Amino acid sequence: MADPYKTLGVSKDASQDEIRKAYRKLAKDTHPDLNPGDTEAERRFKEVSAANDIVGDPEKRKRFDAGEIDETGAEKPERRYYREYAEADPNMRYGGRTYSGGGYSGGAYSGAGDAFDAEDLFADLFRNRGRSEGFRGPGRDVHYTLPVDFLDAVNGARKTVAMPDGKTLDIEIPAGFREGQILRLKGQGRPGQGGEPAGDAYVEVHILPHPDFRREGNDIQSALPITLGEALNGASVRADTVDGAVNVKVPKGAKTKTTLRLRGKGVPYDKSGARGDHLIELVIVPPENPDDELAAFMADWEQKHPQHPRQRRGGQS
Amino acid sequence: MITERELIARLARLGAETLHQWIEMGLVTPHRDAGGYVFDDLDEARVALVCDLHYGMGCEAESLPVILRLIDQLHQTRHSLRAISAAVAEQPDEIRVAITTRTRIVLGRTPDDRR
Repeated sequence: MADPYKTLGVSKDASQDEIRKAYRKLAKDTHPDLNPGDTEAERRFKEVSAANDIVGDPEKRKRFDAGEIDETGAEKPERRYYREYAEADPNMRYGGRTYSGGGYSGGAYSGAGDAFDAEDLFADLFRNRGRSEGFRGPGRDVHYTLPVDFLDAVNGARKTVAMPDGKTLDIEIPAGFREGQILRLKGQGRPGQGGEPAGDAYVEVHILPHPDFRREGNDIQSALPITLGEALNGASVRADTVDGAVNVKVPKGAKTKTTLRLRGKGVPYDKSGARGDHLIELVIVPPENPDDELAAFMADWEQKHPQHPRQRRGGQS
Repeated sequence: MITERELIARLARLGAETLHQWIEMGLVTPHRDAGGYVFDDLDEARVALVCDLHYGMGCEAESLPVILRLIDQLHQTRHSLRAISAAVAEQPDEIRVAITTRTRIVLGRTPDDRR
């Protein structure tokens, strides 16, 4: 960040009053809520405010001048400006009201017709859309986002999707698709003007979460509940994987967090056919309705075989 | 939603008396529940703006309604403009180009002036 004195446009020996005046002037010019269409305003206002936070406060200014603190001061939490809510608010809660404090009371000068007087804004809104509207030229690229089911992203899928402009696109999602990857569909954007080629469609894919599976790179992770009996005696139990249920062998004496690795049952790597693994973490579920018999047996058993579950693993004695 | 106490805690310069004055003036219109006023994100951002105007820029209390009224109108206008420009953007290219070209002419710019 720049020197706070320079940011505020004052000399190093300016009085506090001069600094306050300079800050006020700059704040009025740069406040994001007074410049709703100006994306730069927020950055400039932050700079001005940060400068004022230091040299506008006589104590901090003294410490800054003495070199005790640098020009960044303390970082402020992210602020969300009124303009971010006001314009998006569909009910216009703070629009069209009159104030008892002697403010403006609506009438002849308000109304939709005024909208077209805001020429900069109109231009600004179109410019922000990144359009290149000329009389001739290649068609524009279009951007879409597409939510995709977890399993479709893992196994690959073909989707026919209706786009906002009414046309349908056939989209091939390759197996092993990653969150945020972008598909480019050549020539599927806006048609060109004056014989120029059409633009491309870019589809950003967002993968929806799965209730049971998580993805870690090309491995799949899931939890598999087993009974205490299955854990003690070992068992063969059904477990879901991304391509259907399989039987897995729970080893005798399995514990909660024991992990079983199903090789090649994870997410396909690109094209080669190789796949990651599926890691199943066992979770021992205690009996649902333990009765007196079980409780008495366990008490008796633990008497004979004292248990120390809270002792640190690998510790002495 | 946050309470009045939380709001005041977040805005260093603001006191309860001033906040009540602003509510009375209709500058902010928080909802009320059994425990007092509650402020949503929109209200909070608005109060933060009023604080900047009043404490940061030295706008007198009397001028606040005028300033806010103008800001509100600006947002209404932008809201309408955004709706119009979204509707225009959805039109076939010929219509869209015709509208934007005509707009530029009305605004006194050449058709391919992109600034």
